[in-house]
Amino acid sequence: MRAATTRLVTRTASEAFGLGALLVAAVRAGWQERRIGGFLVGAASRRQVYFTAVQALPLITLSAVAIGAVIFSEALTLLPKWGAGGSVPRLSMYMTVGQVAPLLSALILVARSGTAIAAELATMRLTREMDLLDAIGANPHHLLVLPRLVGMTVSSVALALWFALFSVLGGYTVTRFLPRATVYPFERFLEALAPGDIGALVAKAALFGLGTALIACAHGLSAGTAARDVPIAATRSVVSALAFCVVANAILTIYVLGR
Amino acid sequence: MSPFTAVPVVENEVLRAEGLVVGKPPRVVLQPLHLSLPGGAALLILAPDGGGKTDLLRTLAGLRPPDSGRVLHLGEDPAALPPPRVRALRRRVRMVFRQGVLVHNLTLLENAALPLLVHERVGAADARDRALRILDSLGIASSADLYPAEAPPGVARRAHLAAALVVEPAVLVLDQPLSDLDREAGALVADRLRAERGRGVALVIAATGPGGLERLEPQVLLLEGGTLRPSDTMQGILAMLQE
Repeated sequence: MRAATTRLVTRTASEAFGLGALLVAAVRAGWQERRIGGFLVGAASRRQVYFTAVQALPLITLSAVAIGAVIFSEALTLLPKWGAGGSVPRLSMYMTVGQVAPLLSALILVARSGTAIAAELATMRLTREMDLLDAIGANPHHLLVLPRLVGMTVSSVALALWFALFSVLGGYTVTRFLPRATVYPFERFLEALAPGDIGALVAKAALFGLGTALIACAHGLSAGTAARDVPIAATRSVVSALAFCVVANAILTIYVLGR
Repeated sequence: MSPFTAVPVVENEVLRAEGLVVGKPPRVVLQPLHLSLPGGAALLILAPDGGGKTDLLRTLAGLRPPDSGRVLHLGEDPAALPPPRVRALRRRVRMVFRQGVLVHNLTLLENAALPLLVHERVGAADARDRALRILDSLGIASSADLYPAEAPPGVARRAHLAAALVVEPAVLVLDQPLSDLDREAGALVADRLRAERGRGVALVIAATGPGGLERLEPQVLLLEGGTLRPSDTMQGILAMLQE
C-alpha cells in the first residue's frame, strides 16, 4: 500500500513537472518568436475558441438549464423543510455559480476538446506532420501548443460564465412551475450572488481550461507513431484531465477559495 | 575535383559531411563519408527501397543526428546550435519528404505560405502571393484552395515541394521527388529543380532509379553495402537518357 502510494505520488509529481515544463516552453516560445507567425498563432487560437466554445454552446446550454433546475428545485423543496428556507437564494447561487458551473463545463470541455486535441496532435505525429514542422523550422510549442492553451483557457471561462447564466435563468424559470414551492422574487437570488462566486468561477474555469489543454497537448505530443497510439493518447488525456479537474476543484474549494 | 569526394572546403560550400556514419550495426546505412558540396551542385543517390536513403537524407538535412561524424550547413553544425538558431538554419536547408506531407487543416496555398510566415515578418497577403506564384510554376495554382485530404497525391507532393521552394533555400534535400507524378508533372518539377540549380541551389536527391531526373544532369552515386560510390555506368546511362 505504501509502495503504491509512493509510486502514485512520484508519478503525479513527475507529470506535474512535465506539464509545468510544457507551459514554460510554450510561453517562452511565444515570447521568442513574437515577431513572426503572429497571424498563424492568432488564427489557430480563434479556431480553437470556435471548436471549443462556440460549437459546445447547445450542449452547455441544455446541461446548464437541466442542472440549474435540479439545484434550484431541490433547494426550494428541501431547505424549507429543514428550517433553512432563508438560505435558499444564497445556497442556490453559490452552488450554481461557484461550484457546479466551472466544474461541469470543464468536464464537458475535457470530453469534447481535450480528447480532440490529444487525438489531433497524436495523428499529426502519425502522419509525419510533426516531422514537417521540424523540417520547416517551426517551433511546435509556438504554433501548436500556445494557441491551444490560449483558446482552451478563454473558452473554459466563457463556457463557465454561459453555464452559470443559463443554469440560474433556467433553474429559476423551472422552479416557478413547481407545485407547493415557495416563490422568491428573482432579485433575491441576484442579491445573494457574492462577487467571490464570480471570482471563484473565473479562477477555477481558467485553471481547468489551461490544465486540460496542457494535459491534452502533452499526451498528443508524446504519442508514438503507430495507429493504436492515437486512441491511447486520447484516452489517457481524458482520464488525466478528469482527475486533474476534480482534484484541483476540491483543493481550491477547501483550501484556497473557501477561506 | 568531384564535389562529393572533396575533403577540403570547396568554394561556395553549402553542405559538408565529415566522417559521417548513418546507422548502427548490424544495419549500417553509410560508412564514414566525407563530402563537400558547393552551391549549384546536384547529386543523385540511387539505392533500392529499404536501402537507407531516407535516413541518409534526413541526416544530411539535419533532421536526424549523425551516428558518428558531423554535417555542416553553410559552415554551421546544427547539432551544436541552440534550437532557435537551428530553426533559422532549416530555412536554408530544406528537406522534401517522399510522402508529400502537409499540415492537414491548412489549404495547399496556406501550406506553401507557412514557411514564409514562420521565418519572415511578412503579411498574410504577401505570403499568399509569393506562395501562389510557386504553386503556379508547378502547375497546381488551380488546386490552391484544396485541403490536403482533397488533393491527389501528385498535387500534394508538388504543394509540399512549393513549401520548400518558397523560402529560397540554399540546399534542397529531396526524397524521390518525381514519384507519384505523371510524365507531364514530372517534367514540370524537374524543370523547376533545374532552374533552382541554375540559381545556385544545391540539390541532394535520392531515388530508386533515374526516372526523369536525368534532366538535372546530376552526378550519380550508388549506395551499396554502406558505401556511397560514383557510378560511371549510371552516369553514362543518364547522359544517354538526357540526349
